[in-house]
Amino acid sequence: MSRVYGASPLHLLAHLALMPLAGWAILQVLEGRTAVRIVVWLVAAAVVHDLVVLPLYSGADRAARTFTGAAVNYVRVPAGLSLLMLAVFFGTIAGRGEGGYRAVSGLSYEGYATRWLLASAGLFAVSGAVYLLRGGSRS
Amino acid sequence: MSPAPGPFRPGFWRSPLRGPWLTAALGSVLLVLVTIVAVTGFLSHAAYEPDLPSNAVVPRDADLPLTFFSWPTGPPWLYALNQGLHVNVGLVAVPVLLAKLWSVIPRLFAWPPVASPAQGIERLAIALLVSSAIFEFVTGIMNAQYWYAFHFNFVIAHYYGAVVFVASLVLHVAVKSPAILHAYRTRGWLKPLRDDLAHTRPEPADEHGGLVPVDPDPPTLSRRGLIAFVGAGSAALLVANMGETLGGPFRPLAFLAPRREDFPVNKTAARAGVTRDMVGAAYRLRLAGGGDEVSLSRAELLAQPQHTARLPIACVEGWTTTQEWTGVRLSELARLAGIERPDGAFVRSLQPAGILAKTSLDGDAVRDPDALLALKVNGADLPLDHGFPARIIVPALPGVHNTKWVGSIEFGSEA
Repeated sequence: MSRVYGASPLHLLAHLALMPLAGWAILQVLEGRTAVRIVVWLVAAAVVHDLVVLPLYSGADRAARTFTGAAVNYVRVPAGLSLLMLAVFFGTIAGRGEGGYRAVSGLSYEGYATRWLLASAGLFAVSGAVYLLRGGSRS
Repeated sequence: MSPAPGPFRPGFWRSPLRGPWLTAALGSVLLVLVTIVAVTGFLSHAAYEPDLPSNAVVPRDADLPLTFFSWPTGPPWLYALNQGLHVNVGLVAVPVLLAKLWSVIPRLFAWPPVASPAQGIERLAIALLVSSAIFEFVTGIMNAQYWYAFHFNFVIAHYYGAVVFVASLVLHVAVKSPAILHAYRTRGWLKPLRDDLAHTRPEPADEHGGLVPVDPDPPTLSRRGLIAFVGAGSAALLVANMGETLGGPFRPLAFLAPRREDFPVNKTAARAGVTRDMVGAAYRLRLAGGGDEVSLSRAELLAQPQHTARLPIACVEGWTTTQEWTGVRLSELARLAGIERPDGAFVRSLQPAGILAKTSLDGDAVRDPDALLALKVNGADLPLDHGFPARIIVPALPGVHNTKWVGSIEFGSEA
């Protein structure tokens, strides 16, 4: 069996034991009114990450290496952290969640973009200071 | 077989850091984090007591049989802790997930794409794992920021997405455990972290894994540097958010968190459709369960024995606010309704519609000495947006089950 299947029978049994549980959950979703939207988001999640997000940040990183040489980490780290915060808190920073937030609280999202920019500027400033302290400007 | 194109080509992926040890290390950290997130997620589902009338969001008989226990009312911060962990550990896991996916991206471009039935079925399972993982993080994060661009029921999608995620994760860990152990045994558990940049080399070629580059670039970052970078990302997200969970002096530090108010309102009276007229002099609380219905004005409620308790309201979205509530014990109201030994209550809000206009409380929640129909908060009358004239407050109850603008309570009796 292993020769045809390509792995031990345990491999197959593990899949046969656990995939039906995932299949059951997907079937529950498919019974709902918004099944198509959920499935689209599920598929898009992996496709957008693997074929858009990862190539984009890899490309940006490659470009940064070309421009900065050995000093790349002084740009890579603050830029990476800044973009990470922007991506994860896009709902507040870009105000995308503001309508929903106002609906529940009666308030609006204030100052998020400013605070994100200040935090990003702070990260680059610290990075620059570390670069100078390590004598980076001489190399 | 034709030569592999583009990213499928051996030599296309060049990071000298990729290899079985790095993937095992990132995967191990991620496993601990997502286990916390998944367990607290399913516990939160149980905390909503979806088997009681009106409480279920996920259809009642279409969830996993994991809600067999009744959610306790103590310690009072239990639900705050649960959701604080769910949301904040979830944020901490984001950079680790990104790094883990980065570490295995060459496997997406394996050539040939399917070499055997085993590989085919495994790749299908991994597609489900990656999709459901990203789906869970994206929907959870968007929901906590009130960004409802997905236009489907968050609770239902997030619940079933979690089931897909957990099933495919357990499978993945089982299938990969020999490779994980092999990586640790041959490379040392933490030994590769000792290498500074000058000593960072690619891992030994992995015959079947395809993670170690055949044509590596020179390293620009050590492995410990990469892991520190990931850790810095986790720390940044944690600091930016966790003040909304901890409250007090930490709240202003939560510079990107969606909830930065000291005493957040989760639904305004205007939004809920509750007007001043509905809660004015004509307001009466109706109590039922033990025979004749009892009707009480707010003045009559204030004339009952009052009890004060300092309790948190903890939202499923991870924010918490602790306030001092004063009102009548629910057990006292049950007695007024003619029930000495209550085993639950069905609470209706004055709010005309919405899934939270009706809520069931279990027996523990009704009998807890700190479970109140609160009339005041911090010594003053409840503000309208916080549920004037009267709201439920029960220790360790999910925030939204602390019904505001209570119109009636129907108590159930033990035997």
